[in-house]
Amino acid sequence: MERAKELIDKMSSPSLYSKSDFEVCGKRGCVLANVDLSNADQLIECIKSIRLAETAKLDYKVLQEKVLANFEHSFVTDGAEAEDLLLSGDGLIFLDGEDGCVRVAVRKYEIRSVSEPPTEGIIKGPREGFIESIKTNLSLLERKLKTTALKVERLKIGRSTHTDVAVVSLDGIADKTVTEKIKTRLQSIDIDGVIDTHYLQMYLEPRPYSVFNQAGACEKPDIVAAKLLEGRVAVFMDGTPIVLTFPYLFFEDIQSSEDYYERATFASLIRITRVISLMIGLLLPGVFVALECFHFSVLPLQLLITIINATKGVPFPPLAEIIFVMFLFEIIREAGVRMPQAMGLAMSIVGALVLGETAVKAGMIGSPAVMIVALSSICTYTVPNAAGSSTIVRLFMTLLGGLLGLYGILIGVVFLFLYLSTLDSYGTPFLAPFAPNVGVDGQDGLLKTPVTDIVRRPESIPNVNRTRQRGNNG
Amino acid sequence: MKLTRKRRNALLSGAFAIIFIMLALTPLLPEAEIGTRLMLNAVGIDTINGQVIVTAQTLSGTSSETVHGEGLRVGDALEDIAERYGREAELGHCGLLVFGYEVTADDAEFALMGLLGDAIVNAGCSVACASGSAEEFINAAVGLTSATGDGIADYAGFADTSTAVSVPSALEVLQHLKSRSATAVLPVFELTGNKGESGEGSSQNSGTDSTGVQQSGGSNKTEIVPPRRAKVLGREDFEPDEQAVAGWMWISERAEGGLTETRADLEGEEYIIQGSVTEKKRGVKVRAENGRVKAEIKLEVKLKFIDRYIIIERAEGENRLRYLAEDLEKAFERTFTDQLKAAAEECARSDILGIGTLLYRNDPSAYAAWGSDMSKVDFVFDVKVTVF
Amino acid sequence: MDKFSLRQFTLITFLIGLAMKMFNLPVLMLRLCGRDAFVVLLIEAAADFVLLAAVITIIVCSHGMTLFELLEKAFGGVVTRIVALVVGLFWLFKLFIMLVDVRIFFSNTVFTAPLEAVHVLPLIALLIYFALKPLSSAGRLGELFTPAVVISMVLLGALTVSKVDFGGLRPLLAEGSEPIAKGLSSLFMWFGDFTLLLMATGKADGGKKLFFALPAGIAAFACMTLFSAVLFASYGDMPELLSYGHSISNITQYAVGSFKFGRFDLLIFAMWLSAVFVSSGIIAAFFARCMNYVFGGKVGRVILIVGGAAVYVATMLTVNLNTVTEFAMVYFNIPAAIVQYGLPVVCAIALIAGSRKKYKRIKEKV
Repeated sequence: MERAKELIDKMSSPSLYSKSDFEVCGKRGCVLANVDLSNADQLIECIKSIRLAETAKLDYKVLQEKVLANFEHSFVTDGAEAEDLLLSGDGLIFLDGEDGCVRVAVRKYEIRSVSEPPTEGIIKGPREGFIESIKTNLSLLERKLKTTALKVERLKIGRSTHTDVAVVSLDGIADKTVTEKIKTRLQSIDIDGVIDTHYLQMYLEPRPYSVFNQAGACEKPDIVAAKLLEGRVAVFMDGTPIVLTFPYLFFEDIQSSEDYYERATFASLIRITRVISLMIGLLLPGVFVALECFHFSVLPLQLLITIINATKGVPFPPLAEIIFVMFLFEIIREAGVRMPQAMGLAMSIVGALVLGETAVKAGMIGSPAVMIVALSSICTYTVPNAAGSSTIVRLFMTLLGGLLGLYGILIGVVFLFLYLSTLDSYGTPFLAPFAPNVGVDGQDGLLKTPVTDIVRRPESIPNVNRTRQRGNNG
Repeated sequence: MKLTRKRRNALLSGAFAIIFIMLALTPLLPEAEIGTRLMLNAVGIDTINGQVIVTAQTLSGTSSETVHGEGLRVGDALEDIAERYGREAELGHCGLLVFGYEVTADDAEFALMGLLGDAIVNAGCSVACASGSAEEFINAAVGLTSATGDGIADYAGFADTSTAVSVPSALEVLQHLKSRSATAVLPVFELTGNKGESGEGSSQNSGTDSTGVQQSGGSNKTEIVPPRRAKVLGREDFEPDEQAVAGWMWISERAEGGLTETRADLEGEEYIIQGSVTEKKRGVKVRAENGRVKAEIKLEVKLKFIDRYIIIERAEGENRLRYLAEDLEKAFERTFTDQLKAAAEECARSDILGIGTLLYRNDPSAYAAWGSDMSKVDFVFDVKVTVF
Repeated sequence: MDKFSLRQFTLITFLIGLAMKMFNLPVLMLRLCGRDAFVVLLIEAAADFVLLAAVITIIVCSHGMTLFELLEKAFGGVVTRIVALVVGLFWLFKLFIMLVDVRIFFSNTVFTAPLEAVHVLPLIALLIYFALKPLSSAGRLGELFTPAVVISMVLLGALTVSKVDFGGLRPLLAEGSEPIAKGLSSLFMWFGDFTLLLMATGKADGGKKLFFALPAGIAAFACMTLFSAVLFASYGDMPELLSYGHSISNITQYAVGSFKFGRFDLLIFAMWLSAVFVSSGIIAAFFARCMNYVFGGKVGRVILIVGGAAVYVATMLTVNLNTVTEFAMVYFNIPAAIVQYGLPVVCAIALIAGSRKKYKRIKEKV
């Protein structure tokens, strides 16, 4: 009982915790639970079971085997673990004169239902998405991967948050060195709290300051299952629907889960379209500014005349004009995300009409600039995972194009590719399977091969079992 | 080189600061080149008393105007334009260079060397000759095209058709002038008036439609006609007759097709039969032989005759048709041969068939010994025509 | 990973074969030798092919030893350091020439106004960054850019080749062998680039399969020869029309109607130019490795930056870019020949001497 009292006294707000005393067979004890995080009904049932227990004596063994037979329970000896379980919402049963305590699972968190994630909409395929409960998320995954090889290693990270983190891999497929590296890095985190997987991502990436993602982030169990089957390792965290996967390739941003639920030919066409869109998104403003400022001989005559007429009277030089329009677009985009729904429609009209059409008519900006930036922005969002880095790269290219012309853009492109070619994610080159070229991986690269022909696992991802399919299929 | 966190943060902060400063300073950049240039679409060049006069069409939106400049060289004249109009002339989009009719080979070479050497114009820019002064041509052509907003250079495109003398590029003209033959042939664009100003236009229009925009209003109707005349620039600058022009055209690599006509005697009746060349194989072989130069000119043509019903009506049975076709082929062969002979005769004035160049390429020593004496050249013609 | 894969090595060979020879060399040759520039080109291409074969043989026979290990084993540390210093400084000068070529090209062809010296600074920064990265990065860049280079060449070929009168290449040898001798003796600076591949000694996978890079070299020469032939045929009678920097971009003047469609060939050239930047990066990397070997890692990096700064200052101080080209032709001709054609010979001697040393040692033991 003193132990229970000590535990309660440790808390800054003891009123958050309930203590129910009981006496059975001459043995005194109590049940501790968090009022907000535990299921009141289950807790009452548990206490009832104890009080109404028909037993000659009461100790932890009898408690576990007979009294709490209908409850999920476990015996806890470690005080820190007990504290952690209490903070997580489990009930703790203490008996006077006995060491340790019994944990009874009476947690109840308010969680939302499994639904389609807003960031990964598709037309065909599963629509389940992860939610904020790691338990639910793992269950969704376990439904996809009903195998004894599924390995889930749990950790707690954060001195104040004690957040549940799970490192998931497939034994016999994933390379153990990758898993161990990830676990080591996670275990070395000494922080007060982690709120989202993005916190962990910064510790797990080789270059956290880079503008490019070096970790996969997804919200769908089918994608995570598919990645695990290729030999990757997934990191789940309680409190967030985003799951990280490692190693990560740049080309994963171009891929979509829908590619695997569509016909291979169409999927190939769509991937090529995405790549072209991304290139347009990154380079179009810069190339346009470069051509306008330095190389207008490249433009066909009629287009040149159209641009001259459209930009007559615009007070800004082309580079300033494009940067201004890009800035406007970012403001509109950010406001669109942040503003309350009730105001969304009105502000969209303001953004589109006032900032777009009226500004052009007033001669503040030219219509080619608006069109170019709009097209570029739309193109970057065909690859939404890379939208953040695309925006920065696009700005960089625009500056180079405006200051140094095509020469500057070429320098920028070479620098960009050089930088990307030096990025590595747990032994996997970031630009694989293109650079270095990994021939076999081309089956799921720019062109998608039907699943019947994908016999081997990707060679660019470290794995210990190359064979996916055996025999003549299909 | 591993960076400490402090240094890394400092570098990143510095990078962001530089980017924001650059962004903030972008309004201070000079305005676009595009806005400071005068886009010239077609340029006319006249040389009068050693002075080069440049008249050009400038395009902007739906209107076009002419600008003028003078100087000792074309470059000087373009600078004069810049001074007069306050904007630098931009010839990157110039599609047509027109020389005045009085242009000489030296004038043309000098002008083109200046324009191409400094990469002022694109070497693919078309080059032609006007039937009068280039200034007159450009002024009238601007008037014609201003209604449509097109450029004069667009007409060079349609002129480069199978019905007319093809329009060479600036590089080609210069190549020919700088070659051992030192001869270039320019098509002559002319403006024809409706009040019988000259009979030139109407005689050139047989078998073709004249196209071009007609000036509205007023009593003068001016049109630009596809060039069927040519101006030769070489040792002697002259305008060859129609036969010689046609002969040159058949041997020219640029003209793929063409219209022709012949007089054919079919069973005692004379017909003028028109034909359209559908396929042409040409070859000029030049070699030195016993101190003389032998030039073998070969022409193989597939021809579709236009007035076929005249022939078909007369034919009774297949054999008859075949004999008629043979007669026609012979008639066309005679016509082509006569035209080639006419072109060969003009070589005495300027080497329009490129005999000197070919001899030099095959045998430089024989070329040196020949001394560009056309009287030592023996032409052999081999013409084969197939009608269908 | 400081290594080339077989595929990367092959593609880098292709890019190096093209890069230096793309800009001003055809114009230089035309002005120097007239039409016979074509013959000079063929002879130099044959010599470079032999050089490539020799370099690949050295790499294959090195059995995992790097270039400096090879030399050190045969000649000792001091001699190797001297060789590395001389070779490194030569590559620095060659880098300067390449940057001058790039600057001339952009000034005369791509931009309407000349490129200022300050514009070269970002390129130098890029090259320094490139030089600090492992060989695998260069290889990966080669894999990424080679398709763009190939596509651009196919497009350029499609635009130009059908419209050219290749008869303009004739007559060859009209003035005897003098122009050819003049060309062969003046242009070493622009050939012999395959010596750069010696950097991959001991660092290229593939063993004997590395000889597959020979067809890549041939392909590079074929492209170079074709486009040079277009230039020579077109401008053979008027080389004075071309100034340095118009060069190979002039071949696309045959694009008929370009006044309507615009000079899109410049965009195609931009793709082609990526090969130049990759090659320049490899030159910078070779210089960096030489300096690292001579002075050690930290000092070597400082010298790399100092070298970049020196190149920038030299570019800034160069008033007339054409004089640099002439300077290279007159004063650096022999050093270029010695370094570029001599280094493989030295390596071959090192291989033989090194293997004999081993043999001697074994003999002594017995």
